[in-house]
Amino acid sequence: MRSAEGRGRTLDEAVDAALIELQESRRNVDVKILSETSEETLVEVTVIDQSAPAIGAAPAAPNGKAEMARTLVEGLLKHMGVRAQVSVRTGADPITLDISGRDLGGLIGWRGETLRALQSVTNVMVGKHLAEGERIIVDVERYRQRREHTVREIAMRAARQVKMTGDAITLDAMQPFERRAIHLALEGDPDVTSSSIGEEPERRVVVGPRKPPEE
Amino acid sequence: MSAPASRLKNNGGTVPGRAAAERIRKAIALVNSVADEAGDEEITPTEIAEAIRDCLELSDVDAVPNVRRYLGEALDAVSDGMPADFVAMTLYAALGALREGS
Repeated sequence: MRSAEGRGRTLDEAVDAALIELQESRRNVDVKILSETSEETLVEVTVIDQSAPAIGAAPAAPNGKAEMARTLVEGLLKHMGVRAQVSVRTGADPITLDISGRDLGGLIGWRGETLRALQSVTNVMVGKHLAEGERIIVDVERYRQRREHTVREIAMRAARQVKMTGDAITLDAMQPFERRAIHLALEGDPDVTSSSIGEEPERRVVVGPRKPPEE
Repeated sequence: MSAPASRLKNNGGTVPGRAAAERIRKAIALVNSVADEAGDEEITPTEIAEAIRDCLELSDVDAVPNVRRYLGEALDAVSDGMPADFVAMTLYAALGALREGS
């Protein structure tokens, strides 16, 4: 898997620097922030494996559950009259199904609602074959992955601002998987903390300064 | 010229199914929060059941066939301890029926 490190004054600059080196578009990469100070951000940019098996092709590492889920989703889409390819994302944990094709906006729906519904249906269909707590993630045109990247970047920007100003920042209302991505992105940061406020579906993440433990 | 706030509010309230759709979305968001392990809130089945009962209280749900039935099934699923995805799927069915019927 190809990867490169990028440095820049801002997160965007750092990512762009790595993208130039890799000659890739932002859509095809995964970004990991290695360090971040007020002066410089260092990121590791990894090209997402685009060689996932196409429809009907055997997966690189056969996984019975993943293959079964893939076949089921493929059948479901066929019944829905949607022409798309379903593949199992390699190396993903939990099992992730990628749906790709033309004009799949309708399959994503408003704020990813249709995609989320499709994932629920998939998990119900495959549920009895999964271990407790095991789930299938369904992604359309890497929408979910791109959203996770976006909210992680938002989280990092918010964290940087919180460190500079000392004031808490309330982010826009987000879906559960997006809030989770933010909490995970900031959990290792010693200077900021994240929590959620409000009620669904208007629940928002608040990024604030981490208070030192009282002695 | 913008319409007075009260008028806007009245208009919003009279759109068929809108209030019901909002409440169903809220219930779905709660269930998804459990399924996606958002990790920022402890959501109990009682809270989800309450959100579904809030939907059932609206007269909108009777205006479209099957919406009340799906919501009832979702409520049963919560009380039977069915997986979050199953509850979500049933609520999505209610939302879909509402969209198709309104």
